[in-house]
Amino acid sequence: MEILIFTDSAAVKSVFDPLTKKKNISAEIYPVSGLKNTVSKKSSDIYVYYDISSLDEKSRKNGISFLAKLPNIRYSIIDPKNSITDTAAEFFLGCSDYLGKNVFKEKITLKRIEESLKYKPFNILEDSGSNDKTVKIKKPEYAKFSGNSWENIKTGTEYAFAFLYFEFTNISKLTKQMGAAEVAELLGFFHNYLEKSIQKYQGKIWIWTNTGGIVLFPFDGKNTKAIESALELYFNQPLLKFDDYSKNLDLKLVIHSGNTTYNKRGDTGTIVSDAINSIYHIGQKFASCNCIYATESYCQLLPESLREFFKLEGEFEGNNILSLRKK
Amino acid sequence: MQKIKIKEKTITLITNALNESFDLRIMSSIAQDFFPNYDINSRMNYPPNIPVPARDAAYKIASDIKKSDLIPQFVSQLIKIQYHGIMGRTYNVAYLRQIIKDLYDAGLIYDKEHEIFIEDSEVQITKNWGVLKNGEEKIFTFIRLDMVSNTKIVRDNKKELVEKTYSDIRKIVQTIVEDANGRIWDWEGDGGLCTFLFGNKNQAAVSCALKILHQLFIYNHFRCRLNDFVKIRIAVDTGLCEYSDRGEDIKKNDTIRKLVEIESKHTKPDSVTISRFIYSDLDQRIAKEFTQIDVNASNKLYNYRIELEK
Repeated sequence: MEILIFTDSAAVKSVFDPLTKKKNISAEIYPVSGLKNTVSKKSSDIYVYYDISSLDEKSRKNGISFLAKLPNIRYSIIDPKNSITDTAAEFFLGCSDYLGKNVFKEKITLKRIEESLKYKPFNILEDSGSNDKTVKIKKPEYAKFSGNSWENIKTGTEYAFAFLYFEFTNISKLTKQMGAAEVAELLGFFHNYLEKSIQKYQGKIWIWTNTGGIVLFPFDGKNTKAIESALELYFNQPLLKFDDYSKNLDLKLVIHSGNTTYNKRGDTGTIVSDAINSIYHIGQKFASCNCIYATESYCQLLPESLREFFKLEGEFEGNNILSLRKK
Repeated sequence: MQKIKIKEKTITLITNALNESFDLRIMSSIAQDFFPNYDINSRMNYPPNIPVPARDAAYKIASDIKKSDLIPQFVSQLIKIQYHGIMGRTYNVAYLRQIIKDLYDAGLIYDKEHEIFIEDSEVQITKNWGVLKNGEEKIFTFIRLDMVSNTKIVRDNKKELVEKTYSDIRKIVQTIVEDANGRIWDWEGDGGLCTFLFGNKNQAAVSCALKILHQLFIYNHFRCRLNDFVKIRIAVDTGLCEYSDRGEDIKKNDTIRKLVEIESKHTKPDSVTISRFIYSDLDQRIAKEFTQIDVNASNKLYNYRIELEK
């Protein structure tokens, strides 16, 4: 691991100087203004010390926000003036160590760095298949939970739901092979199958187009109905062919949780929802078929036994995306 | 076993159909398909040389058929005669449409492939589909399921929890199997025997076996409260078997014995094994989900399990 110290302060440089001279460690000092350029060119295996003492509040927030968004690095904040009042918030964002006024009086030792490397910010998730592939996640901010059933859900009110995005990826190909009328019949069959399949998980087809849609599940912040339903669809998908159709629909499946105003099916055109927007983008631009994708915030609800099968695929528009697939 | 209730009006219609469509000789011949050596004169205490009035003979045949609970089979026979004729002649069977409608109203539907009436599973579900008789031999497709390490499960968990789990699993199996018009023939707490007779029975049985395995995966990860996951072995095969109300009789059947062997000796926990007869009947896309197991040169089996990337 390479350690990069970004500081313009002579005092700070003197503190880190002994570290840069050690033979068994790679540490270099850079000017604060070079943060973005330097870090962007480095590999993921770096540890950044970022001195904010020379920065105004806007530049400081900008720099920290830049570091917090990078998926595969660790960083610590050097704050000799104690200008950050809420240090806990920095740890929440993903900071690994905070060198304030008191700590700064002492020399920064290798031991201190090693200790901070051992500390794993709670919002960093390690990819089960690779130890160095880590990213930071957003903590979801849920509106009122929609609960465990549809009983108390009212139209026009914003709730937290779990969403299952589905998209048929081979409609054009099938239309060429079978003709539009046959494809329409096939979609009708799938609609009925989906409706029946999601029923036991209290799912409702909320948005339906001829290329896919969204299933809505009541969500209490804990329940896992959406993933259970997605697993059943995913595993049983090859068996759909038994129902008189010689062609099958290739499906993309994505699960996410978030807020939306609830309107009845067919009356969803005017809804503005970051969560719906996100799941559509993940489905359309990130996901591929024959696999289940889930955002990390949702994956954290999964039992440990199942979580081990979800692999980190990467970050997309601020969401970490994990996937489960058959061999 | 619950009987299908046939109304008296239907018996009258069948009597009229026989009387108006066939002569005494053909009526007797149809009756002999159900009761070998059926002699209408002796049944009605008429001397052999005195002809029985056709109307009375028709009523007697219809009554005997009803007493033996063979009305659905008898009507199936009338449908065959309508379409294929009998003894080299074609007949237009009177009142056939009304008779069929009466059977529909009684909860029976006509299976064209097997040319028999079976119970409408929306109305009632019985082990024999409402029509099979004890001793009737058919080619069935079977699913055999067995929960692995039952003794350990029972030893390591509270009794109520084990009972609840087994009951949940039975419910999963029952829902999936009956939804595909299969029947549970035997269930002994930690496993059972399911049977398929109609439609594409081999594909239906494999589809159900896979769905059961998938559903159990979901159950284990999200619902199971036992100390460990419930593991299951599932086998599917097809073959001749005599229907019997008694589970003990069925267990002695060769097809079932072979099935038990496939399940117990050649199926790993959490997997489905199918015979080569079943495999050869599968749609290619489903077949490719299975891996061949070489038991010996003449006996090939195929196995499916859920394999996820880690």
